[in-house]
Amino acid sequence: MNSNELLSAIIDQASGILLGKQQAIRLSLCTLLSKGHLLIEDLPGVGKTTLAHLLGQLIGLDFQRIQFTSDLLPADILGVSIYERNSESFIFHQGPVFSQLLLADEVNRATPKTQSALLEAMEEKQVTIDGNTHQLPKPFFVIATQNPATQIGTFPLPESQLDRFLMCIHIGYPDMDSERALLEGDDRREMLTSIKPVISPEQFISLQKQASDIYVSPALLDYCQAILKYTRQNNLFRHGLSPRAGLALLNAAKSWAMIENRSEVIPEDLQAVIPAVVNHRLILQQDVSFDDAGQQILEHVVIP
Amino acid sequence: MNKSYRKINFRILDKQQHHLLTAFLFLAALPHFFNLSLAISLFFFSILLFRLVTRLLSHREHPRWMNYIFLVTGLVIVVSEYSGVIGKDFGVSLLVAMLSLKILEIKTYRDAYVLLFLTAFMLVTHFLYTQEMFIVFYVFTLTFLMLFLFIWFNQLQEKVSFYHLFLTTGKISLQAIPVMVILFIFFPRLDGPLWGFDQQSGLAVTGISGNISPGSISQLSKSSATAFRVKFDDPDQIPEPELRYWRGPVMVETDGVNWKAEEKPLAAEIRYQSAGKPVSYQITTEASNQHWVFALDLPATIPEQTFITKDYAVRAKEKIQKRISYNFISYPEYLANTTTTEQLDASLSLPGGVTNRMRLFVDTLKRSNHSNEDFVKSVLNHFNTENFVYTLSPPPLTVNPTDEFLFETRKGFCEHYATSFVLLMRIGGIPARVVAGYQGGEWNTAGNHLIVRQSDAHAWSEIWLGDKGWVRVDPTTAVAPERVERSIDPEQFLEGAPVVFKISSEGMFGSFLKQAVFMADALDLNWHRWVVGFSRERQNYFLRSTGLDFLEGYKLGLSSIVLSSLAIIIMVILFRGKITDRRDPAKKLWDKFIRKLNKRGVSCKPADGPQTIAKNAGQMLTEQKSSINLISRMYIQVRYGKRYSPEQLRTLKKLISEF
Repeated sequence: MNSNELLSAIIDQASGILLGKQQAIRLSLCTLLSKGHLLIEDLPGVGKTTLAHLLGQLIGLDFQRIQFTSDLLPADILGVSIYERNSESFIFHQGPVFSQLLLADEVNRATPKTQSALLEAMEEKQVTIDGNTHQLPKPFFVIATQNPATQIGTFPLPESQLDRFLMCIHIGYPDMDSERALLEGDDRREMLTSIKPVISPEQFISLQKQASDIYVSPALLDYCQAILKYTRQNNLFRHGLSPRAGLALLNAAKSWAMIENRSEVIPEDLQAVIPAVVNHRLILQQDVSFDDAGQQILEHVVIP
Repeated sequence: MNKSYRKINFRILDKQQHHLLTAFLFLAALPHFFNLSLAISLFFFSILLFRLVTRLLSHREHPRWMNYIFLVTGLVIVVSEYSGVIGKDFGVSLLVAMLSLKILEIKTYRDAYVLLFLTAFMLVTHFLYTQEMFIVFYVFTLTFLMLFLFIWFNQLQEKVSFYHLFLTTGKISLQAIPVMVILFIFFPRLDGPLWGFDQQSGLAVTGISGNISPGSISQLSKSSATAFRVKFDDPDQIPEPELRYWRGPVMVETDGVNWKAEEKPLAAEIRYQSAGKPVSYQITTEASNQHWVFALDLPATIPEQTFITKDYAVRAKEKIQKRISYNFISYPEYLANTTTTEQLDASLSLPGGVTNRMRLFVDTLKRSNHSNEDFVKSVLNHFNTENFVYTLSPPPLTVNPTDEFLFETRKGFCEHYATSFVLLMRIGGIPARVVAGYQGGEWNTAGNHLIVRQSDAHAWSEIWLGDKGWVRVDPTTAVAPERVERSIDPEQFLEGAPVVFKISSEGMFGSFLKQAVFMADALDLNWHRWVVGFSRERQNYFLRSTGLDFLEGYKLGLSSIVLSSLAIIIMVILFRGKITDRRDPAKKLWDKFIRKLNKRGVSCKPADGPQTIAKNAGQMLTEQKSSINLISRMYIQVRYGKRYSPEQLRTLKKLISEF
């Protein structure tokens, strides 16, 4: 199977379980291809955990899950050194972060201290405890979920931390037909366990490499810059997009082009990832008439 | 989107912007404080001060009812200062007062726009008062500032780079220059002063008038104001200082005290015989509120707007109420041996104030000098050898000025010498008259022109000597020969003291200063010659010399509109050209394709990508779906693909033109 067939197979299989959510699946896969981390912001029970699980299974990643609570400590994530009497030394016991795919459920329930421990690991791809640096496995992904509805007793991620996530997606309710199929069908948890990996993590790493080699033409860079300029020269947003956001946008568009089986990025690829990449990075001014920054950009930035 | 634009307009100005705007308004109104009444200026300042104090002391706006009080105060001041509701001063002071009231309301960007538009209007009103170079420079600077503020207040981002704002303003200003030049050259000139505004001003201009009495010229001589400037066409033909007599009104009639020129002289022909070489030159006179034009003695060729009297004095057909330039040709050497008996008779008539002392004095001289020439010389010799003093501040003369001057005070200025000399000549039977005008002038080494000041005002006499005709005799030279060689220094006169003449040997600093003054003067003259003085005549001359004289009347107006529109179009093309050149050839083709699609009813938004467009178009134009898809794939290949060949571009071009 060539790379495109592999990706299609992943998407097809995932769609068979998470019904009617192809866009969310594609965006998630796109994030993983771009070596980014994913934030899923939605109500409980719409399939956040299922989606994370699915991706882990299909790519054959070593999957770990942490349920974030307000009393979770950094050590609970990263691991801890424990004195062993046999060897008379401290032995480091790896925490759940030492996995290839980490699902951080309800990340906003933990204290900022714990949150930042995770976010640092995400950024550095390594963990330093007691002066020893431990490399995290490769690939390393974090899929964090956030429940926007219950805000009591939560610590919403600050803007600077949100920037660490390549994309922030919403899953939303399924449509009528998908929901009917879901209600009629088998138990999703069981289906999940029966899924066989489509590719190995090593293959996935090579796919990541291929995605980053997708060609970006000067014309597309013009468009990308026009988008960045629009967010900066307009007082619709409190701040414009950062250069890091620009890079994220471009990387995501490359992966999207790869999912779309193209060897070059076209404006549509950029447009497909814009809402997921920019919405959590842009803060709207108080009195603007719209609530979707990505859509605003799509409608108003002329393709040069 | 509309909402967001409105939002931009109602953004609040920050403190820095507010203070800058207020400062700008102050600068824009500043020159008017010299034109308008003190009350208006005080009103403006007090409002400015009030605003500044309230802004500095509290963050809250002052209560709104105070604005009404200010409004009423302003209106009352304007109306009470200028009772007539029509006129330049009333209009301008109303504008200034209202603008100052607007400061009280500055809060949002929208207010700033309104204020800047109004100041643009006020900047123009400065030209109603003066069109001097410095004010033009001032207005230019402020216009630039205004543009700068406009551009600044239209920026969307919060942080602006002043350097870029400056560059943009500069670019826009430079782009305006071609249009400005075209309009300047081609816009039809009106003959009358703009809006008839100049006519209402009662000019308090001093200068030689057709009426002199002892003391009138010496009064004038204390002024260093410029009377006119002379630019000689040929630098080799500049007459010597002693020949620089600028002829004004010729006075024949007298009552013994006052000498009067004819009030409404008629035009006459020039009938004198010229000798020597002609001198051609251009005179640029300052506004004098008089008709007299002071040509070099004696004028031969005069400009159209003037005529010459039978005494060879030049008069403008209209009163000179602004700077005007005239071209003349004169002969400094001449033989004016034609006259009429009426002229001679009038030049012999004696006023009532001739005393026995005067007759006795003339008889004594006549007895010893038989010829007229000798008699003239003896009178001049009398002025020279007796204790006569040339002074700017002669003692007051009461009943019979000539008599008192000749025999008692013996202190006088040129008009005393000229008038008494003429009277003595007439008593002796020689026809004589007084000529008023200017003598000499200062050479401006920077501008290579002559500045004739009011302090150069002079009076001399002309006597009829039969064959020799009218001969100029300047009795002042008998007393103070230096008068015709150097100018009087009006800065250095004392009561009753002899006149101090300007001497050229000054210190280093003095000569530098002088050079600077000359430079400024030269600049001013050229400014008038080329800019302010670009009158209808000069415009016509320019059009004739460039072969464009078929443009007359409305055609000229039309051409100014057409040419400036053309200039704008050319600049737009040049400016756009830069953008289109940068545009991808593939993008150009794609735009063409989109235009074709639009014609077929497919609506494409500029924010749509090629695939989206192809999909939409394919749904609407199902028969052409395959070619649409092919074109969009090709376009994506050419524009966004990695491997690009000119071959592909040609295919795309072919596909689109066939579509």
